[in-house]
Amino acid sequence: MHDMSIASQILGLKKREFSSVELTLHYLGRIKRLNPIFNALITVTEEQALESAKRADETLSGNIYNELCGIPVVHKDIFCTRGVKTSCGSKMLHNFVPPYDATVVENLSQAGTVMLGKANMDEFAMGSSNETSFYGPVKNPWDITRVPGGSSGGSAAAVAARMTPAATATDTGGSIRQPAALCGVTGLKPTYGLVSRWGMIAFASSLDQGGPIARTAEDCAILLNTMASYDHRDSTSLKFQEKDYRDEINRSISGCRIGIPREYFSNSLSPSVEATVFKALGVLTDLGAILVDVSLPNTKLSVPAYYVIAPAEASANLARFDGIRFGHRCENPQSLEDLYCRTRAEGFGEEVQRRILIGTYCLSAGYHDAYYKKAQQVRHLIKQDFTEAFSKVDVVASPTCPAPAFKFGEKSDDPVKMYLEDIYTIATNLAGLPGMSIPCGFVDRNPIGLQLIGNYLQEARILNIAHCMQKETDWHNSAPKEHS
Amino acid sequence: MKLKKDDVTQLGILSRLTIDERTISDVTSRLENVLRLVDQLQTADTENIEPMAHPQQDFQTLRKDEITEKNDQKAFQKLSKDICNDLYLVPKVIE
Amino acid sequence: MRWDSVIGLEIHVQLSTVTKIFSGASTLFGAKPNSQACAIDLAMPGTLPVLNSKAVDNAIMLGLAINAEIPPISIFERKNYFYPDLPKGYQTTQLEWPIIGKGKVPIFLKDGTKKEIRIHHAHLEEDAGKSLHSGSFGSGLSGIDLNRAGTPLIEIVTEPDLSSATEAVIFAKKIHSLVTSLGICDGHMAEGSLRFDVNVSVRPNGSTALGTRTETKNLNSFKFMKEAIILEIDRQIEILEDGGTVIQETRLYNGETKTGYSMRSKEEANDYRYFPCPDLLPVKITKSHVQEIQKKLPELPDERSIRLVSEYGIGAFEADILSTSKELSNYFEIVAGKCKNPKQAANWTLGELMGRLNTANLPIMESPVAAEDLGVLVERVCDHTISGKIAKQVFEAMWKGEGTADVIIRDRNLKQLTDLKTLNELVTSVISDNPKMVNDFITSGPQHRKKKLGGLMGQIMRRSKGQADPKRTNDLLARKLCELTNEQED
Repeated sequence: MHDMSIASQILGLKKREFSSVELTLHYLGRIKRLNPIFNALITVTEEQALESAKRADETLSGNIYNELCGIPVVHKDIFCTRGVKTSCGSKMLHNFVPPYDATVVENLSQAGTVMLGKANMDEFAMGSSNETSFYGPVKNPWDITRVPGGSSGGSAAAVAARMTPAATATDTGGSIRQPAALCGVTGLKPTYGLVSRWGMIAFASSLDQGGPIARTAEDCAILLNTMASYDHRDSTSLKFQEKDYRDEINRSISGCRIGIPREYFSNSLSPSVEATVFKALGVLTDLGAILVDVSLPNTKLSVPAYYVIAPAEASANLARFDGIRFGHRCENPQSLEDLYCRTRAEGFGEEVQRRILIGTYCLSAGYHDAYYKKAQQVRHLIKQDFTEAFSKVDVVASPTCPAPAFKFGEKSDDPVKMYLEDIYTIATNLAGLPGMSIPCGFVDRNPIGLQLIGNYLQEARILNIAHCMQKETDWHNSAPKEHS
Repeated sequence: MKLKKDDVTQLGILSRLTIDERTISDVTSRLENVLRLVDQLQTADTENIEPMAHPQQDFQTLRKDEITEKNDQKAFQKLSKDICNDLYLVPKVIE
Repeated sequence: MRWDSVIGLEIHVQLSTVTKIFSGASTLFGAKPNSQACAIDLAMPGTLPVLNSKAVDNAIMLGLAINAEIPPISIFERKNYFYPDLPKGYQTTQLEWPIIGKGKVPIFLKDGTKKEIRIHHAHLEEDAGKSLHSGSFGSGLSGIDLNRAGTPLIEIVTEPDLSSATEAVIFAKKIHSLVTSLGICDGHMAEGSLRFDVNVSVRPNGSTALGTRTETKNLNSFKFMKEAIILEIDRQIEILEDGGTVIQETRLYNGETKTGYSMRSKEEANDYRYFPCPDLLPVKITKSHVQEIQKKLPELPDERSIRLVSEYGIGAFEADILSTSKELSNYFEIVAGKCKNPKQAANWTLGELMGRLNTANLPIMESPVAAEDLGVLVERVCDHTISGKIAKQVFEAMWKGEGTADVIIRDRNLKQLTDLKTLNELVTSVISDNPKMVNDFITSGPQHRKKKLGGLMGQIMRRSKGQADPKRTNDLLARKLCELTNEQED
C-alpha cells in the first residue's frame, strides 16, 4: 500500500480494496519501525489517527465526501494543531499545545484526512539541513549519513521513506523544494497568499508559504485543491479563482516555452547535477517543449537580499517568545530583563539566535537604509527579472539545489555555506512566485531535483509540466532501500 | 563589515538574548561572515528603484467591526506557568 | 530673564469600536482580567492581524474634522520593543505613512482671540495591555492584564504651537469635544479613553530657537495635564536659571504627590527598528469613500459654535464652550428657546448649572434640572418675576427636586415686589427707621455714598425677604436719599 500514490489510494478506498483504518495502521506500523531510524516525526498521533480513520471510513461509506477522505497525512510541526504539541522544532515550544488549528490543518481535516503526526523541521524553519532541530536531525532515507535538506526535512523524509503518502510543509527560501529534491520527492511552493498562513508559525511573513510534499505532481495537485483557500483570517490571503488543479494536469506541453536562466547554470553548480538536469529537460523537449535561454541578472543578489529581509522579519516575529504567555520560561528569573534574556537564550538554538541578531542589526538605527531598504530595492529588481523572463517563456526551469544531499556537519561550521544551499530557490520567495521540485535523476545514488518556476498563480501550469514528465519517467517512483 | 564585541553585546540587549562571554567571539565572527555575504547588496544599482516590502502589490482587505472571538481565557492560560488571579505574572516591571 | 514655553501634544484617543483593531475580541472596559484577550491579542504563535474597517472609518472622520489631508495610501509598521504588556514584542503602528496627514484645529482663548493649532499628523495604532504593580500576587512581581491590548487608538500629534498650560488644556478639551461629537470615542477620561503626552521646552522670551524638550507621558486628566506642564516649565526654567541644561528625556507625573520624575528605564535602548508590517498590506482610501463619510458627518463643535453665535448672538467664547458637546449645546438651545434671552440662557447654563454639575461630577444628560425647567426659571428672571438672587435659591430647590420654578416661586411666595407704591412704602419706612445710616449717607463724601446706599439696600432687602425688585428699589432709594441730601444742604 505504501508504494501507491495518493491518486491510487483514493481509488483503492473508493473501491473498498482497503479501509482508511487499514491504510492508517499500515503507515503507523511503518512509522513505528522507521521513525527511530530517520527521526522524521517529532510527534506521532496514533490514537487520534485511528479515530479519524474510523470516522473517515464512516464518511466513505456515504455518497458525498472529499476525495482526500481517509488519506493519511503528516503536518510539519510549524502548523498549529489543536490539542497536539506544536514545537516548531524548538525547545522554546517544547510544551506548546495550541488550542487552535492552522487553516491548512483545518482544511485537510475537514476533508477527512488522517493526521499521523507532526514532522520534524529546522528550528523555526531556519535551516537547510534539519540540523538545527531541537529534536535532533532528520536522516535522509537515501543515505542516513546525509542531510534530508530543510527546513521541511521531516516532511520530505517521511514521504520518501513511505511513512506517509503526503505531508504539509512550508517554504520561506526553499524549505519545501530543497528537501523534496534531496529526498527524491515532489514538493510545491504555491504563489504567496494561495495557502493561508493562519496558524502557521511565522518565520518571515512576506516570504512564508505553505504547500504540499508528496510523491507525484498529481498528488501535489490533489493536496493543493484542499490546502489552497481564501482565508479572511489572513489578510495577505489571495482571493483567487478556485479551480481543480488536476483538470489541466494532462494537457499537452507541446510548444510550451521553458526558460533556462543562464545564471542558474554557473560555476557553483556541480557538473553532474547539471548533466542530470539537462537529461531530464530532454524528456520535456521530447514532449514538444522548447528550451529558451533567459537571464535573471540579479540572481546572485537573491541570497544577500534574503538574509536581510528574512532575519529582519524574523527578529520581530520571534519577539513574542518571551516566556510570559506560553512556551519555555527560564527558572527563577531575577528580573524582567533576566526573564527575557535567559528564556530566549535557553529556548532558541544557535541558528535562530544568529538570525535574530542579524535581523536586529539590519533594522537598527544607522543600518536600516543600507541593509533593509537596500534589500527591498534589490527584491524589486529580482521581481523585475522574473517579469521580464515571463514575457518570453511560460515557466522557468533549473536545478533545485547546486549539489546532492551533503553529509551531516559538512556545512554547519559556516552559516554562509549553508545559506548558499538555497541559491536557486530563494528568488521565487522574494518575488512570491510558485515553484516546485520534482525528482529528475540521481548522482551517486543521491536524488536530484528539477525546479520549475511558474508565473503568479500558474500552479496548474507547472503541475502540468511536472506530471507530463512523471508520466514518461520513473524517478519519482524510485524508493530508497527499505530499512528494517 | 567589522563587528566589535560591544556591537554584538548591544544587539543581544536589543534582542533580549544573553550572549555567553565564552562564545561571543565565535558569535561575532560568524555574524561577520553573514554580514560580508549581505554586503554584496551594496554592489547593486538601486537608484530610482522602489523598495518592495511585499510580494503582493495589492491593498489590504478589512474586516467588519463584529465580535468573532469568544472568551478562551482558560485554554490560553493553561499555556502559561505563572498565573495568579487571571493575571500573567512577571518579575516586577520598573517604570 | 523672562521665558516662553513651547508645548506640543500627543493625544491618544481610544476608539469606541466594538472590537479590537486587529482582532474580533470585544473592547468592553472593565471585564475580568485577560477575559477579552483572544489568540491574536495574546500574540499566540501563528496568529495574524486583520484590520477593523471601523477603525479606519473613524480615523477618516477625525481627519475630516481636523481639516486634514487624508492620503490615499497608509501603511502599518512594526515598532519593536520588549515590554510585558506588549505581547508581540512590537506595536503595530504607523510612522512614515500615517492615515491622516497635516491638519489644523482652531481654538478660542478666553479673551476671544482665535488661535490655530497645526496638526503634524494622526495615526492608527494598537493599545498595549496593563501592568499591575500591586495585588495578591506578592511583591517583586507585576501582573499583566491584556484585555486592553489591541484596542484601537488614534494618536494625534500637534506641532509645538501651544504656549501655555491653559492653551494646552483648551486644545485638549477641544479634541475631547471633537472626538465625542464625532462619536468615535466615549471620552471617559477616568477609564483612559483619552491620554496625553506633553512635550515641553522653554526658551528666553523673544528667542526663536527651540530649547531641549522633555516628554511627560500618560496624563489622563486635564487637571493633571495642566499641573504637569506648569511643573515642567518651572523645573526647566529653574535648571536654566541655575546655569544647567535640560536633558531630553521621558518623564512621568504623579498626580497624587504632584511630582514629576524621569522614566530612565525607557531611555536605555529606544532603537525601535520600525519596518512595514509584512502581515498587513497597505491600506487604500478612495476619494469616494471619504466623500461618503463626509456626508454622514454629524455637526461638529466649530460649526455648532458659529451657528450659536449667529443664531443667538452670544459671545464666541461662550459659544465655543457650549459647543463642546452636542448634549450641552442642545440643553442651551432649549433654555434659550424657553426664556427668549440667549445671553442669560448661556450664563445660567455655563454658570449655575455647569458649576453644580461639575461639583456633583454629573454629565449634562443626568442633570436633575431639565432644560425646559431651567428655561422657565431664566424667563422669570428676565420678566422680573424674581430677582437673580432669588433665582439662585429657586435653582437650589429645583436641583434638590423640590419642584419647578413656578411652583417654588408660588409656594414660597418668592415673587418679586415690583409695585411702585409698595416699594415706596418700604423705602420710606426703612429711611425713617434708620436715621443714623441716612445721616451717614448725607454727611459722607460722594465717593463713599455708594457703599452707604448699599447698607440701606440691605435693610430693605432683609425687610422684604429679598423679594423687592432690586433695580427699582435701588432707583427709588437713590432718588429719596438725593432729595434728603439736597434738603439738608439747602
